[in-house]
Amino acid sequence: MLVVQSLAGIWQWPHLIPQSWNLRAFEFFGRQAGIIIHSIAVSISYAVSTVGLSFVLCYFPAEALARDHLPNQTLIETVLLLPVLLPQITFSLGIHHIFIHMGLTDNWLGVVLILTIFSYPFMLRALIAGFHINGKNFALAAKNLGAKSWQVLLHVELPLMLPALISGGSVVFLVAFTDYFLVFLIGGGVVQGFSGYLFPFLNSSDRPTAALLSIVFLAIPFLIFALIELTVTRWYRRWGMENHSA
Amino acid sequence: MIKLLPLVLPVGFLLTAGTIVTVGNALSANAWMSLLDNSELWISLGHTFFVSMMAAGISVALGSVLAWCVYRLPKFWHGLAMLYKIPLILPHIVIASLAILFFSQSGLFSAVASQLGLIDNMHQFPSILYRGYGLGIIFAYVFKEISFVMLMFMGVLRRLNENLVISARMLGASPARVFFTIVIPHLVPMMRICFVVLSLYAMGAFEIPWFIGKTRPQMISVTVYNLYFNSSIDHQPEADALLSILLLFSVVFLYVFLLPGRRKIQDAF
Repeated sequence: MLVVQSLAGIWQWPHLIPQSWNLRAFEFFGRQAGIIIHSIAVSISYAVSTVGLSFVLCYFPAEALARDHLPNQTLIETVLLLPVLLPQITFSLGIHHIFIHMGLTDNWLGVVLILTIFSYPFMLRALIAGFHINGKNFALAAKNLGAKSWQVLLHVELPLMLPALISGGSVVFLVAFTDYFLVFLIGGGVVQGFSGYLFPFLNSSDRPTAALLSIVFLAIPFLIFALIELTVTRWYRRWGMENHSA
Repeated sequence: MIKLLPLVLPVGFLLTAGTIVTVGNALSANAWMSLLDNSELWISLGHTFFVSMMAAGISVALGSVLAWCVYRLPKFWHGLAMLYKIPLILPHIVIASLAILFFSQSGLFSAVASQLGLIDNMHQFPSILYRGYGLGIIFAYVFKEISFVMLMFMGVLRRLNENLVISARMLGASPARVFFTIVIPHLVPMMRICFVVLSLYAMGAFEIPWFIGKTRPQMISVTVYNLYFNSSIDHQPEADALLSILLLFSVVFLYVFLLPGRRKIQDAF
């Protein structure tokens, strides 16, 4: 559908297919390529950073929730998963206020922070599942053989968590990349992501260009996921791991 | 416990602080007076709840049927069936524009209708998107939510004991009977979760109603946005008051709906 639109020239109402075809949308894309690529890069950068930040924040809590027996565990887990359950706007305007006071609006760091706040539960869930699957035994064996704590972390635990990281990271990346509202709210137009770039086109009557840009928008997560699949699967084979999909 | 801190500290702080700011701002008496006077606002609230729950309900109902059908497909089709996951990655704004493309008075379905001779000019095509009971929004949400529901249900269906189905068929149950008596009860915990999650999500979502919603009654997310950004600063407490109502409702909703099945939720997760 989108492909057809992007190629369409004039497409007036009662006709089921475009009356003329042209490449105008593609020409536009070519002319604007610099800006477009820049905004895509910005989007990817804050999306990836969100994945990274959520991973760092969620790692130890996930381990604690999965392995240690905490009191009120169910309650804690439910509370920690709240940002994804409750409507975004209820919190985001208040946080916007606070960010203004903290000077975190209109900059990239603020965007990463707020995206992390609203998407970390996905990473948390994936990591908890990962910890459930990998037992404590590997770490114990490593310690037994004399590894220090940080060595255990770096060489044993983290590689084992890679499938969970990929699984959670994919979801977080998707959410962060395609988000318009939060980026716009906190970034204020200064942080020019691709979602922000696409938005005015969808509002306008320039359907072919909007369609083309939408296709690009969709293609990027696809490409990144495909890239990850290829590289990571090769790693797995090198390490002799099976392909866990968490 | 200490291990939880890296997450709890920054996030917990920001969320509670954000809530305090919002609720605090809303505590001025003026805001509540003007809210109570504004009957349109209450209609909007009702409309929002209606639309969100309708969309969630339809998605859950249809999604269960579709998930079961996909689950039962012969192996050959499984790859193709993965297409169902696509709406999930579509950003809301794209879905909104697709909805406009198809359902608007100058859209594709309207064109089909005219080709079939059902209508003569574009204005005769019902204005699904901008009037009616928010049907356009419901369509858009259902499109995305069905995908989500099916994803969740497939996971649950994998845990269904095949033997139950086989025995039922052997005892003479029709496929429909099998579906209603075995599959649905198995899916119920997840259906409950999905319904709650999707309703709350729809109540808070902003991008789709902004595109294809109408101005009266509005979805309250759009109302809040307008109050906050497009009018004078006096109106901010009103917006915050609305948000507080929404927050309160969400918490109550969550609690009421999820209370009966709390342990099952942990299993489902």
